[in-house]
Amino acid sequence: MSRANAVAIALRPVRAVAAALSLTLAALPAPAQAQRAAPAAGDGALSELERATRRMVTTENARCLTCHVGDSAHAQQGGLLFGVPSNGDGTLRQSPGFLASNHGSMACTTCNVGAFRDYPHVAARGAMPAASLDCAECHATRTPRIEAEIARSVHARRYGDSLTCTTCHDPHVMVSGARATDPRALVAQDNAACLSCHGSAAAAPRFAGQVVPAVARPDIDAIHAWLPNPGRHWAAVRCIDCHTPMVAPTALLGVSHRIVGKDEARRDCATCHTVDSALRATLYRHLHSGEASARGLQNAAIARSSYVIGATRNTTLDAGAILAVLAVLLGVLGHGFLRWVMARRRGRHGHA
Amino acid sequence: MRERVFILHIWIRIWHWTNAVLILTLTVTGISLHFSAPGLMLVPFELAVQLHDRAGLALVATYAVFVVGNIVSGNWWQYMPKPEGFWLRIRNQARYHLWGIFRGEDPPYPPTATNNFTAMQQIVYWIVMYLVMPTVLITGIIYMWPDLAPQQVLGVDGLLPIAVLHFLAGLAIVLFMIAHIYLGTCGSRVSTHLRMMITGWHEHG
Repeated sequence: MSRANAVAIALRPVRAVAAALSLTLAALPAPAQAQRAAPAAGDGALSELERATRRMVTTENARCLTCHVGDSAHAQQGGLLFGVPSNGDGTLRQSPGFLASNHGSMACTTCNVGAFRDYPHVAARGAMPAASLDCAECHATRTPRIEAEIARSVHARRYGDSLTCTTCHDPHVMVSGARATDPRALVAQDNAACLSCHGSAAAAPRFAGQVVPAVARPDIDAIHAWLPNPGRHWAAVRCIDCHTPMVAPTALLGVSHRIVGKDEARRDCATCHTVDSALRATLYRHLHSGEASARGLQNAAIARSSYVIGATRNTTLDAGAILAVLAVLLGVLGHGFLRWVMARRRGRHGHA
Repeated sequence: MRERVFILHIWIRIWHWTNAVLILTLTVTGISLHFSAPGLMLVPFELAVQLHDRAGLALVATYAVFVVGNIVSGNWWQYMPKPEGFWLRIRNQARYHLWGIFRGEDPPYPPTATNNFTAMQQIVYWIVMYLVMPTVLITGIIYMWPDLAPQQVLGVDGLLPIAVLHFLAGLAIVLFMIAHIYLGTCGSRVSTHLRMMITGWHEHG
């Protein structure tokens, strides 16, 4: 049994209280649109119990944030997290990135358990050491599918079990596709996760060097030189939109966790560059759903942030264009046919 | 023996046929990209992008040759609609295409050394070459360097209105091209104009 599992079992009663408090907010039954529009924002719609819970979580988290300032990033832990001791004006310290994230309404100590509950984080003899729970503790329903997908990804082949959820997903700041309102922000977040290793030859050894001998990474621009305007693509779509196979989306998961290398990645441009664009089912799964085409403009949800040739086009205009071409074609063909008929008649009369 | 008159200098003929090849390439690849659908591509997407980009840049170059060549040679004057008797000439031309041509009449205004174009050609060519072509080329250049486009226009990506303009201007050129090719057969003989575009000589009668 792993250390985290042992801690998890031992701490179940303690955790139950914190979890009940913080998850009350996380599980609020609110319309998806409202959740997206105002994540962890105004609390006007909350009940008194919910408001009290939120205050408790904020107060609890402020204790941690006395030292852990700034938005955490696992890769940079220890660098950015410690610094200014307090606000100095008596206000509670908050982390904007954390508040806006999916976990923003949860108590730090829901996941960070044992000696993390007190300072310094050194466990007394016989007490639980500081540990962070596995993501699967809460995200149990989607874990089996994710684990099966990861087992077949290039990452698992290379790094095995040393690759965990938090290698790519920083739980403190992560915003899921269902919660994101700005596709470009979602793209930036998700691509940053990939590029933290794949961005340069210097970045990869930071993670890989701890697990397997560091490998030289090819220049990301050079290997995508075939792609027109690669910079525009990377600002508008995620690496995973091509480097994962298409899967049947479920309520919880739209994109596969089976990251594939260049040999299996999608390279047919028309997969996205068409009216029935794959982007509808992946990056724009949540933003696209329920959006009708606006005055003939197909994929209006995509067009708001990105023009995608072949996808964001106006089918009313297209129909008009096709009609115009047909009308001119028919016009000249008809004219030509009449000329031919008349010339034949003239010929016959001429001979007669 | 038929009367012959030399109308078209070699540079105009080379320009014209280069233009024709480029515009046909751009039309086929443009249609393929715009109406893109997996498995139903006229030209594979990646190849269509490369061809469209290269032919587009070449068209910018030939357009520059056209503008500069016209200024240097004085050929620009041919494109200017002349006000004197303009409506009468338009009316005669329309009457010929709607009536006279079916009765085997000769075109009312065959090209001469000083006046290559009919009034209808002048006005249509002027619009196509000096309004529509710059529109399609400028929007195409923005397309190729999309950072030149505005970020957002009316709540959508700023590239979308550029794309719509490019599409409409491209459509206008395609419509022009269809009519142009057909009207090319409407000389005193079906082949009269085509031969002129190759040899530079117009044969009357």
